Amino acid sequence: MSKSDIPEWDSVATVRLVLSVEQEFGIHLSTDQVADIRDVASLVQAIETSIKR
Amino acid sequence: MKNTMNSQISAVHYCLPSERLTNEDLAKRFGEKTVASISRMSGIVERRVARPGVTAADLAVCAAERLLQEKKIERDKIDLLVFASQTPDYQIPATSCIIHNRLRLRQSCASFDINLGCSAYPYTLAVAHGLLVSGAARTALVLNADTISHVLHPGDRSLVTLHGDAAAATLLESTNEPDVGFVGFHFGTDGAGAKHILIPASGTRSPRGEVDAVETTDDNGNISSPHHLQMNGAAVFHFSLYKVPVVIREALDKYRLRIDDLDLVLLHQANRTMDDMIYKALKVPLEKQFYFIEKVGNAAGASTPMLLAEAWRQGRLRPGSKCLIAAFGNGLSWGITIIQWPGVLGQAVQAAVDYIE
Repeated sequence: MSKSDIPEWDSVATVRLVLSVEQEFGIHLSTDQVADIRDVASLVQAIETSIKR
Repeated sequence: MKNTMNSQISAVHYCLPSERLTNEDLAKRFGEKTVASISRMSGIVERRVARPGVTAADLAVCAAERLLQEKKIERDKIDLLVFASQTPDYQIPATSCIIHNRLRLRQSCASFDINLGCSAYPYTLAVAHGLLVSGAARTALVLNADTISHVLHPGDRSLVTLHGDAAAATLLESTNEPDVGFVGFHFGTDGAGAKHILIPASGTRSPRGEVDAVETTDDNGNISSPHHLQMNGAAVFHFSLYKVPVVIREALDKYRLRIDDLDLVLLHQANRTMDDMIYKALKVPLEKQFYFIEKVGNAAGASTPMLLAEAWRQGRLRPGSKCLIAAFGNGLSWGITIIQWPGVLGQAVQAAVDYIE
């Protein structure tokens, strides 16, 4: 599922998603990681990378 | 800043192009639902946009002329002119030199440009302040102006809906009055994020003449090309929310201040939701917040000086109080200044703000 499948998934929605996962997992995503989020898979990958760091 | 010599802002004014781009206009281009959704987030219902042929320098000259006239400032008194913009008249020469001539300033007046975006205002103030306290100059005119609408693809709804054009003129003078003027400055840069707001084909790295303006459409339907400003909105939004509260706290610590010591906290008017979230993170009470974005949009480098001018016009600058100005944007770049206003504050410039050719 990607941004192009969901019209409401704009940049603000990405930031809200990121803020939620940062709080939930106690992590901080980098600016570059946030820049690359375009679907659920890339969001999950960013979370996994941050947890391993 | 223990030097007894300081500088202070004695007047500030701004100018807006007369053309209005409303949400109703944009709904015809991007659809009502999309525009309404972005407007709820941004707090913007109308932008001022310069028609082709009207440049940032034109708006800056207009703001400066009206400030000089209302405050009865002799042109020969000005010995420093700084013009900050990312939409200059030419690549060569510096637009400040052209403005110097248009404002009929004396030949012994230093003039130069500063190339920074939304973060520019604290930098321009710091440079002018440094030259004033060094004795190199006594009276500075700082101009911050951008016509970002000229570098946007008309089909880029994420940027067209946010940006407006504007210019601001700030007059700075050296002062010996104790404890008045700039309390200090705090700056920073994250150049790794430069790629997140840029015009790909705009300089000598990728000359415009060698790169075709091939249109691309992103996941959200925004159309752009290498010849137009491109922004990764999520990355920049996230950077601002994370970084700006941190660096404002650093600035306050540096000068042993707290939010309680400030009367007003002025933030770059990027969008309303972002500023709301930054205020919330810093626990800035409502009476110390100030917005000026709804009818003008995000005016890039002119945003924070215009915000200061409007706060002054609306009686929000209390004599003897302190205010903090935080500006942030492409680079990625940020700058903060803290200002101590004098016990007797001059009248705000009341001149018209609409540009007239």
